[in-house]
Amino acid sequence: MKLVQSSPEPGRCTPLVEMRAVSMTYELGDGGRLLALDRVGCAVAESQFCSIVGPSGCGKSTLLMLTAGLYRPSAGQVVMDGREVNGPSHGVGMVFQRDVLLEWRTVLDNVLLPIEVKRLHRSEFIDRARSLLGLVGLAGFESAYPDQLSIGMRQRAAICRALIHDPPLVLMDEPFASVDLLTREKLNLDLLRLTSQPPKTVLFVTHSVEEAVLLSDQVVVLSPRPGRVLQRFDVDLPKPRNLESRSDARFHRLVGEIRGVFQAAGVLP
Amino acid sequence: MRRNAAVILTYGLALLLWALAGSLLPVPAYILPSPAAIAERIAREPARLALHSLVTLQEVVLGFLLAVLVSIPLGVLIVRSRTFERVIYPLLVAFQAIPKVALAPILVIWFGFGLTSKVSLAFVTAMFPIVINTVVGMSQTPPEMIHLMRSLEASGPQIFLKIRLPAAAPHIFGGFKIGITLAMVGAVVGEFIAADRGLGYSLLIANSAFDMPLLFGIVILLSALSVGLFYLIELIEVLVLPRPLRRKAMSIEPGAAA
Repeated sequence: MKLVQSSPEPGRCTPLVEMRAVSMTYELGDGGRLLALDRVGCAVAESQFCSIVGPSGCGKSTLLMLTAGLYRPSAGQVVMDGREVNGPSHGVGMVFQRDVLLEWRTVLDNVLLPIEVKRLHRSEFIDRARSLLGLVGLAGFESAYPDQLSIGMRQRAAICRALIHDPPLVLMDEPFASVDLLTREKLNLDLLRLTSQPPKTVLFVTHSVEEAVLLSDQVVVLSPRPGRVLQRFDVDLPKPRNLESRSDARFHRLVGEIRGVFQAAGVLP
Repeated sequence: MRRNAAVILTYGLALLLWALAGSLLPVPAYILPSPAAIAERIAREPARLALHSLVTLQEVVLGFLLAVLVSIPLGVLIVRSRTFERVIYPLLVAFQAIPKVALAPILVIWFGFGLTSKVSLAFVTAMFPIVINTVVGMSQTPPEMIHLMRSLEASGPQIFLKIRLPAAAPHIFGGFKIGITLAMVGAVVGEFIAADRGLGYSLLIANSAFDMPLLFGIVILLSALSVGLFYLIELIEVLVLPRPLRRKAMSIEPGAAA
């Protein structure tokens, strides 16, 4: 994580993921076209936690799909590990707004899904799965089915699933949008713990400015549709972070600055 | 226990009312035979009725299994291929619009008076709900699940076996339950048209002899067979599917009745 703070301009050191003037146009059913992303450029360094904030419909989710290789950009390139992303190939970990747990699998079997898909040896990962679940307070729920869990617990299990195979990159698409505020704070803490030791490279989409600043090393602010990068912020809050980090003066300054960018763009009054 | 008692009591009362109907209402026994008369009529030649039941049962089960074998791959193909869907779907709907009874004479001419014509009629009757339910189940897979699997570089067969099939399983079993009862209808109709054995054939014979207790007896046997097959499928569902996928089943879950 120090790596990041030492480089004020993340694009300058070799990034793990880089968007180079990425544009995305959707063909609509009625022959119309929708420009979702307009020449987005940003770079995420190894072990960096990068948040993308922006108003609804600004193409944040599209950006994640492009990074995962699930969509192809209409123009520009997504580069990962020095190679252009041409399809799903890096086994990234994904967390969605809905937990997308498989109802017919137990919590443990859900967490081990990536291991099965990658045909790795399940027995070698059971301990890791249990310890991940333990880290987010789900010890004892290994053999429960998802329908026995609360929304927050389900999302925690989904995060464990995204981390089980130690992916080079974790993509999170508004993972906490459907939980209540208190649960959200707890989940933020869980996420900080899970992604800091050892540090993971995370691309995190949210529309909460506070959440973005609390969690991230870098915050990328997108404009309303079509999504353009309005500004990038490096977050210099000391680590390890916890909920008290929010009372730091730097936290308030950054949140204020990001809101200012939204106000200038006409998103906030 | 109390729920079971309520069920038994209700059926017992209904049976009692039926038994008394003959003496309370001016309904002659040749119109509405009493339960006792029906039971007595069945008991008079149980071996012959059992044999005919087995014939019908065989037709139904074979027709149903054939429908399962054809319908699930057909449903999968419809979901997987837009072109296939465009070609086959209108055909399927048009086919379903045909009253299956109308096909019976054709099938008899094609396949003769024996087992095959009944099995094929049971098959065509049972097929449609299984295909439709497979299609509905398979196409309701949340897109994020597919995204998740693809981001992990899952292969097509992996996505099918680990996501689409289990997600569709409750719907497919729903299709089985409708299909098995329809297979019964198909088999009996087939026996009506041309047969020398089976419960449908026995119905015709009893009808020509105006043997009302036997007619009622056979109808009750048919219904018992249908109900038995229905619950057999539900039992298989309970054994095969993990607990969360069974919610849609009408509960005969062990423990649920306690």
